[in-house]
Amino acid sequence: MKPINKIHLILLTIFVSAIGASAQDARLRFDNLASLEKNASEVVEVNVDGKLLQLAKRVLLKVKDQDAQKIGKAIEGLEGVYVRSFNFDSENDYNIADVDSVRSQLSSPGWEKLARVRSKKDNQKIDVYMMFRGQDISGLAVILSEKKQIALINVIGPIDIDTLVELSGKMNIPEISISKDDDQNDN
Amino acid sequence: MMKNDYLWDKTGSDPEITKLENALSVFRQKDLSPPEIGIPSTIADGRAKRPFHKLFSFGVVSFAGLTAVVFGLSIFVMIRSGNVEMVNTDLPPGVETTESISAAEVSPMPEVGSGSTMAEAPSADANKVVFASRKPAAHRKSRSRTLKNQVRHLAAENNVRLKPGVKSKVVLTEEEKYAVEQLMLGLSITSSNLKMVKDKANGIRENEISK
Repeated sequence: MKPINKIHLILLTIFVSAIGASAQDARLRFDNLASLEKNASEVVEVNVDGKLLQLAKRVLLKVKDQDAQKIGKAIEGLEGVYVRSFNFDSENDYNIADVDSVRSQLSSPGWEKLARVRSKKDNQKIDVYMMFRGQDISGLAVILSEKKQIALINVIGPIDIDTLVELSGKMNIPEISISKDDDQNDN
Repeated sequence: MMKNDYLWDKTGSDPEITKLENALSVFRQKDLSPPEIGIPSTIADGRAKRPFHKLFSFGVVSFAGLTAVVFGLSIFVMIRSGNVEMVNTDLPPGVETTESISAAEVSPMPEVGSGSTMAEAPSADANKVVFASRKPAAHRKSRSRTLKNQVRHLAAENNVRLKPGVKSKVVLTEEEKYAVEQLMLGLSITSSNLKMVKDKANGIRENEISK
């Protein structure tokens, strides 16, 4: 192989890697949550991407149900959904540093803060961050920590948040209450 | 004096009349049977030589053609305007897809079952096809067998069972179920969190407004 071809190959590799890296910018790392899993009484782990996501999208679009089709359209460009949810039997049965390690990832460039909730009463912290690619949303992150609950959410790719919020609890979306009884009373 | 009765019913005798009869008897018609009506020989020969099927060929063929065209047009119009009900009676267990479509929807081929992981379509012979329309059943049966085959083919190809007035129900494969459940679970948690944040933000806003 001639030297010039080698250079081309290296440049191509760098270019492809750069494209891959930019696509993964919005991806949070959920790999150091072993201690949370260990202490939690209930763990929900969701990883939907690649072929599994394509399959789900196709089903949503083909079902003749308005809500399903709305959701299907809202997530048309979605690339991945990653969720970790932990419920604990007793209050503060986890190390907040584990959550903060994920939260700190949102300080990297690209992420923009959308909402921040701090409630001393419930020891509640909610952070909503978004990443944009041009005018489109390329990533969404929600980090929630309460006395007995932690939820880490990472959505990759454009998504219609308004539609998603509007359809919350409708269709066959399983009802998973992540808010505590105390919160509901407050509301 | 001349007797008139002889003239009417030949009773009695009247020599003058008898004499006249005798004089004119040469002109009397001898054979009183009705005359035969003869058919010209050219016509009689033509009828005998012409084959039976040619006698009716033009008229019958024209009529049949016209009927076929009218029949075809009427079926086409009915398909365009009416509903077509397709019932697949032998779908594999666990795969049941029910939806209502009009004939107009049949031609563009709905994408149900197009996925690579969907269960395979059953054989076309297993399908029972019924056409639903406003006309009596006797009319429906005789409509079109070719269309029936076409609908049957579509039903088999799309793996669908179609009934009027039944809401769409798509039964999924295990893989699809898992994919949808996982996605819905993820979206549910995401949406409920976002809703909570939104509600809190709205609550704060309302409080500020009320103050």
